[in-house]
Amino acid sequence: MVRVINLLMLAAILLLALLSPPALGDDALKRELVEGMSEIELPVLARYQELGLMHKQILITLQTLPAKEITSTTKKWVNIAAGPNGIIQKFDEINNLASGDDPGSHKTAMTRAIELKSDIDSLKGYKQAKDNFITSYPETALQHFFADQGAYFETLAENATDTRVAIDYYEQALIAYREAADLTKTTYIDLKVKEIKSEYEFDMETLNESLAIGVAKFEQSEHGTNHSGNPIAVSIGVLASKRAGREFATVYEIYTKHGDVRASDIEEKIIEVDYIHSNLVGVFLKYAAAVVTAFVLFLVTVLGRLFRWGRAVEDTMLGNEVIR
Amino acid sequence: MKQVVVVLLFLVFFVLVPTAEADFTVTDGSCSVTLDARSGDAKAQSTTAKVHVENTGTDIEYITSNITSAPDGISVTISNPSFNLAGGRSNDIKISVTVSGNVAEGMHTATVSVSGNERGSAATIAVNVDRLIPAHLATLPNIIVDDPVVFDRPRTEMEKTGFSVEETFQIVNDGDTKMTVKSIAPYGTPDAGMTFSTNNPSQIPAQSAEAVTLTITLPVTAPEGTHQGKLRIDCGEAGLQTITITVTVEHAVKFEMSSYKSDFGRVDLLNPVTLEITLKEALGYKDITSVMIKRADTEPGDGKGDWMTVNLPASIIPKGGSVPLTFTLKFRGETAVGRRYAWNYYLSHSAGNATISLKATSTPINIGGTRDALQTLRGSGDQEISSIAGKVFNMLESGSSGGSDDWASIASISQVSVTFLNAMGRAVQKVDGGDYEGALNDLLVARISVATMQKSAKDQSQTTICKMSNDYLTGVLQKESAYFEAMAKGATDDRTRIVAYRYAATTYDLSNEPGKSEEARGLAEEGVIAYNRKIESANSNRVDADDAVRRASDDLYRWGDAKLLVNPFVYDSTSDRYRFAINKTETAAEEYRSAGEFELHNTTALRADALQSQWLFLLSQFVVLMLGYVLIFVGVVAWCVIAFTAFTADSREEEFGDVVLLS
Repeated sequence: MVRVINLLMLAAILLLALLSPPALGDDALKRELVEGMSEIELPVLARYQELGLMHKQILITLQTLPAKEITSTTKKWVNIAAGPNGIIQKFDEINNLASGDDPGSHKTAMTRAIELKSDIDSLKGYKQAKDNFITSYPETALQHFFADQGAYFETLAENATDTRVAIDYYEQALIAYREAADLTKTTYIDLKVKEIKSEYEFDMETLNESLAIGVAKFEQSEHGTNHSGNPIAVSIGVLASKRAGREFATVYEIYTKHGDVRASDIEEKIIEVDYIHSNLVGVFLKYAAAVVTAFVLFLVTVLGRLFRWGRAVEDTMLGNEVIR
Repeated sequence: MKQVVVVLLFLVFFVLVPTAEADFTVTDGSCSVTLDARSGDAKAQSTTAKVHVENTGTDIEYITSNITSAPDGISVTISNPSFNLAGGRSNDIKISVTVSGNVAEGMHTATVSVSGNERGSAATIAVNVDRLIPAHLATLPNIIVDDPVVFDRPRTEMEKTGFSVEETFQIVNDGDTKMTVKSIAPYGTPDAGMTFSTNNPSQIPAQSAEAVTLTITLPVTAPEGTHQGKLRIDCGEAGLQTITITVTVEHAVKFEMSSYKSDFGRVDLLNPVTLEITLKEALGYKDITSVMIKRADTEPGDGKGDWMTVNLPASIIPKGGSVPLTFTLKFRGETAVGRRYAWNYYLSHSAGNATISLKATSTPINIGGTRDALQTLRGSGDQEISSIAGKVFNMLESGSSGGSDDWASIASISQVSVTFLNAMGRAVQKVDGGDYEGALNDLLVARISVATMQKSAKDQSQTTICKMSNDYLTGVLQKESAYFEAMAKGATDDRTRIVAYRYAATTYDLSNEPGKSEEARGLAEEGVIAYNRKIESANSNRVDADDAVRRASDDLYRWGDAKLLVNPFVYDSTSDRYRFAINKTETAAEEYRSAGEFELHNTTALRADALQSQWLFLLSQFVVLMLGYVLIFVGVVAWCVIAFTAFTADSREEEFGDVVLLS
C-alpha cells in the first residue's frame, strides 16, 4: 500500500514538473538583477569607457525587458557579464592589478586578461546579450587594456638597467601589443626584443669566455701566491693575475653594460686580483732584485776581468810596437 | 320571582326614605390670624370662628358643644356651648381663637364636638396663621450646568480668556421685607482654576425672586471631567447660602494634516524619494490617540508595498503637537519602467479617519542625469547633435508630462541618445582631424546606440529620432568607408592594406553590410600573413646584421672610442661581415618598406648607409695604415742599407787607417 502511495506521489510530482512552465521570469529575479547591476560602482567603469557603456547597456536592457522575458538564462549571461565573478568584476580586479607599480601584478593582470577572452566568448553565446549589443564592448575594452599594458611594459623596458629585465618587459609589451592587434608596435617591439637578445647573447658569449679565462688565470695567480718560494710560479702568477684582471674587467664592463648585479661580485674579484697581483709583483721584484744584483756582480767581475785582459792585451801590443 | 322583587322594593324604600323626626347638620368653621414677627417676636392674636349648626328635623334639638382638641399655642374657647335649636332652624357656635406669637405659619386645626338630642357630630375649625417674617433668603438649589463646556477653540487663542459659560438662577426672598444681596462670591477654591462672576441685583423685594446671571470661566488648563466650585450668596440677615456649581469640561480635538502633493511625479528606479506629511492636533487640549496607518483594504493601489516605506514614529499626536508621517518611495528593480503606480493608505485615529492617496511614475535609473546631459548637448556647436538632442529632450519632457505608457522606450532612447551623441561628437572631431582610425571606436559605440534606439522606438517621434541618428551616423560612416576603401586601393604596402581592410570591415559591419565586411576581413587576414612573414624576415635580417657588425667589431682595435682595423689578418673576415651586415640591413629596409613599416624602413635604410660609411672608413684607414706599414718598412730597409753602407765605409776607412798606421 505504501509503495502504491509513493508511486502515485512520484507520478503526481512528475506530472506537475511536466506541466510547470519552463523557467519563466519573475519580479524577484528582475529585482535581483536590476538592483545588483545598479550597485556596481567599480573604478574600472570610469577607467575604461567601454565597460561603463556595457554596464549602462545591461542596466537599460534589464530595466526595459518585461519581467516575463527575464529568465534564468538572463541571469546566466548577466552573471557572466557583471556577476561576482563576471567580466566587469574580473576586469576591475585586472585593472587593480595593473594600477600599481609592481610589474609582477601587471603580468598577472595580463594573464588574467588573456583568460578573460574565454568569458567574452561565453557571453557571445547568449542571444539576449548579443541582441542587446552587450558583447561588443568588453572586447574593445580588452584591446585598450592590452594597449595600455604594452605602453606600460615598453616604458619599463626602456628605463630598465638590467638587460634581462628589459628583455622580459619587452616580451610582455610584445604580448600586450599583439593582443591589442597593434601591428606597428608589435613589429617594433619584436625587433627590439630580438636586437637586445642578440646583443645580450653576444656579450654573454664574450663574457663567458673572459670569465673562464679570468677564473683560470685567477687560479694560476693564486697558485703563485701560495708558492711564493717558487720564482717561476711567482712569475707565472704575475702574468696570470694581470690577465685575470684584464678579463675580469671585460666581464665587469659587460655586466655593467647590461645592468647585471653580478658586476659587484666581479668588482670584488678585480680588487682581489689587483691585490694578488701587487703581492706577486712584490715577491717577483724581490727575486728580480736578487737576480739583478747577482747579475751585476757577475757582470762587474766579468767586465773587470775583461778590462784587465784588454789592458793587458793593449799593453802587450804596445810593448810589441815598442819592441818592433 | 315576584316575591324577590317585592322584598327588594321594600329595602329600597327603607333606605331612601329618611327618618324625619330629629336631626341636625354641622358646618366646619374657619378663621385667619396674622402674626407679625417682622420686627421682633410676634404678639398673640385672637379671632373668632363659627361652627354653623342647622336642625334639619322638626323637633327641637338641644345642642351642646365642646373643644375636643386644639393645636399647641392656639387656645380655643366656645362662648355659647349649649342652646336649643328648633326644627328647621340654625345657629352658630361662637368660638374664640387665640393664637400665641410663636405659632408657626400655616393651617392649624381645632376640633369641636357637637352633640344633639340623639347623636353627636364633630366639626373642625381651620385656623390659618399667617406669620409676617423679615427678609429671608430662600433655599437655593445647587447649580449643575447641564451642557458640558467644550474646549473647541485653539488653546493659544483662548489662553487669556478661557472658556465661559453663563447660567441663570433665581434668588428668592421669601421674607416679608426687602432683602439686600450683599455679595455673591466663590467660596473656597473652585476646582481646575474655575472662576465665577455674577450679575446680581442688590435688593430683592419681599416675597420676590430675581434672576442672577452667573458666568463660570474655565481656564484652558482645566482638565476634562466634572469640576465643582462653591458660590456663597450673602444676603446679610436674610441669610447666607453656599451652593455648589458643577460644570463638566469636555476637550475637543482637531486633527489637521499638512497639505502634500499626492503625486511624486517621475521617480527614478532605486532612487528613494520621501514625502513628509505632518499630522497635527490643532487645539491643544487633548492628544489624538490610536493613530495608525495601513494600506487601504479596498483599492490599495497597484504599487507594491515594499516600494513604499511608511514611517509613523508615534501612535499618539500630543495635544497641540505634531507627528511627521513619512512616505519613502523607492522603486525596486522589478518595476515596469514608465508605468504609473498608486498607493492608497488608510489613516485612522481617535479623532477620525483619512485616506492618503499617492501616485508616482517610474523612470529608469539616473534619468535626471540624462536630461541634464541632453540639455548640454542641445547647446552643442554641432548642428546635427544639437538638433537630435533637442528632439530627444522634447520627447523626454513630453513623455514625462503625459505619463505615457511608453516610458520604457522614452527612457531607453533618451539614455542611449546621450551615449550616441557623445560618441558622434568625438568621432566627427576625429574624422575632421584626419584620425579616421581613432574615430572607429566611437562610431562603434554610436552604432550600438542607434541599434538600441531602433529596437526601442515605438511612436513616430522616436522613429524620427532614430532616423535622424542613423542618417547622421551613416553620413560619417560613408566618409569613413570611402576613406578606407581608397586607402585599401591605393595601398602599396601590407600594413596600410591590413589597416584599411580591417577598418573597412568594421565600417561595413557598422553599415550593416556583412558580406563586404567578411570579404574585407579576409583580405586583411591575408595581408597579416604577408606582413608577418616580411616583418619576421626583416627583423631577423636586422638582428643578423647587427650581430655580424658586433662580431666584426670584436676583431677591431679599439683606440679610445674609435675602432680601427689594424690587423691585416682579420681584414677578410671583417670585410665579409660588414658586407654581410650591409646587405642584410638593406634587405631588411626593403622588407620594412614593403610591409608598410616606413619608420623602420627609414631607420634601417639609414643604418645600412651608416654601416656602409663605417666600412668605408675602416677600409680607408686600413689602406692608410697599410701604406704606413709599407713606408715604415721601406724606411727601415733604407736605413739598414744606409747604415750598413756607412758601417762598411767606416770599417774600410778604419782598416785603411790601421794600415796607414801600421805602415
